[in-house]
Amino acid sequence: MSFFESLRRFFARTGQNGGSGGRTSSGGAASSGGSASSGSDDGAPDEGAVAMISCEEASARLFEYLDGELEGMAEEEVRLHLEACEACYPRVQFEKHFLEALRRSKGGGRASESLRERVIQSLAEDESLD
Amino acid sequence: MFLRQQERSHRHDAILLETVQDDPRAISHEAPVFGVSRDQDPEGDFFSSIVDDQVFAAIDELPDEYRLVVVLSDLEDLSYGEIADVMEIPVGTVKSRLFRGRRQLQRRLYDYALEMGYISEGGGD
Repeated sequence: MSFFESLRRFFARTGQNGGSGGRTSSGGAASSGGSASSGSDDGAPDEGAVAMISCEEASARLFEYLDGELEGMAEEEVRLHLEACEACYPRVQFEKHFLEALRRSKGGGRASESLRERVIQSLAEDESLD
Repeated sequence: MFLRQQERSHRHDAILLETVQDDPRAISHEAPVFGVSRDQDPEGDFFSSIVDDQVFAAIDELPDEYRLVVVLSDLEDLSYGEIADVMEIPVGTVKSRLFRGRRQLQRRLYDYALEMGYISEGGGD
């Protein structure tokens, strides 16, 4: 029971903090145009320069990028690739439309509320098994 | 027509296969639904047509371990680190469950979009 309450407080807190700890949607990215570098750019990067990563690497980190989970060099590598790579553009749009559909639905009233309640309950049950 | 159906079933097999693996080190970075729908709707516009209730229903149908991370991430906006703390699992596991959960969701939403005619099967002209 107390875990249930603490989780509620946790959610309330992260809701308030908004910008800092939680999710910031790395948006924009890929505008089409520029010369696409579809992988195979294995040359050693200049010192201090950001390496051009392959499509596969960018794809592997795409959700993390869109979730705002990358920072520093890692974020820059993916961002630069997506800004330049026409081949990746549809894929980025695809994932963004998907994530938007999910996030759009979170304001969705009772169904959303009941789903969240159940998740919290299931976490609380896990906790009580320990 | 038969070929189309057969092709569809192959695609679905590939999608299912991708979701069966559960080794966090072996996340497939393929996006099977993206591959399937790229002819008809390469940028996934069909997601915008899907009503919220259907999104919830699809999330609801996910296996527990995927549903938890998807709800915490995409409905509660928790970061990977916060989800790892709440669920007491490594961040790598959060990542792999989230990726797989989202892939399964995409497949369910794609099937729904097909049923509703938001997207047509077969691609091409």
